Amino acid sequence: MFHKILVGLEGSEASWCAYRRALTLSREHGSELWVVSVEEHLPRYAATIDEVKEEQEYENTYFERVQGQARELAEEQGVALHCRTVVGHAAQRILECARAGSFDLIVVGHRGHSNPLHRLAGSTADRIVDHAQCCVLVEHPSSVSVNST
Amino acid sequence: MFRRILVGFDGSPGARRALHYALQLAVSSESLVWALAVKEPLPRYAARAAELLAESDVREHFERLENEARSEAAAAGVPLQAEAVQGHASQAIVEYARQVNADLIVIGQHGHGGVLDRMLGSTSDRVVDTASCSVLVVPSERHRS
Repeated sequence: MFHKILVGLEGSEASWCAYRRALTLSREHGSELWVVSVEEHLPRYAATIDEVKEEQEYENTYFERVQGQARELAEEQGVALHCRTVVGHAAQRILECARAGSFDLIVVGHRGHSNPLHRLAGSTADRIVDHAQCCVLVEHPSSVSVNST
Repeated sequence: MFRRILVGFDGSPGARRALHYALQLAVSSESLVWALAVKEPLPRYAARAAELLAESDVREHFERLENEARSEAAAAGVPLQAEAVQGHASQAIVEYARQVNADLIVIGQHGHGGVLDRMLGSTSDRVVDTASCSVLVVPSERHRS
């Protein structure tokens, strides 16, 4: 059914829900599983290059830790996990990775809209749903208990 | 995995693909499936009377959809309940999913027609935003390579 699954993981509770669902799907359908973490917060106007490097090192360390936890969970379930970290806009980068790698499913978390501006601009999940060329599963936090089975 | 799956089914190619995915998921998890068709409100201001379909035509159309979903499900060996309800597509799908306690909604992806749609969002956006369960959005055929 799904041969290659890509899941966006940045360490939030919503993205962990998405990851756990992707892991279950991958185990049940024998799909190849990839995690992509997107570094979004590098300063655009830094006073010195060190400021950018410092932020990048901080994010690299953070994502290494997150992906390490993801690997442990995958190993427990006997699933081989591939990880990537990229820099840029989350929705754009996830869509690019999905297209380049010919994925047939993207799994992302649902974070909800905290304010009216987000309502108008749309969430990362909305943008992925609108532009993806493959199936997109938006995992709702209420499904956590289902995920952990 | 997913035990109670609701699929939005309006007979369009995207909805047929959504039904196909819902049935495939259901086969592997022995899930129950509901296929929901939504009768959207008739135009308020029609130029000609012919724009408003006769009630019998509408009924026939939705019966055809329900039968199509049932026969697809029977072929896949999946228990399916088909129903048509009145309302706005996204609201009706989300509401029905709550009623049947669905843990997954499967819908077809819809494109954006213009700036207004971009701001208001498509049916799939609204379902993703307001559903209280997970949502699988299946792309239209033109996107498939």
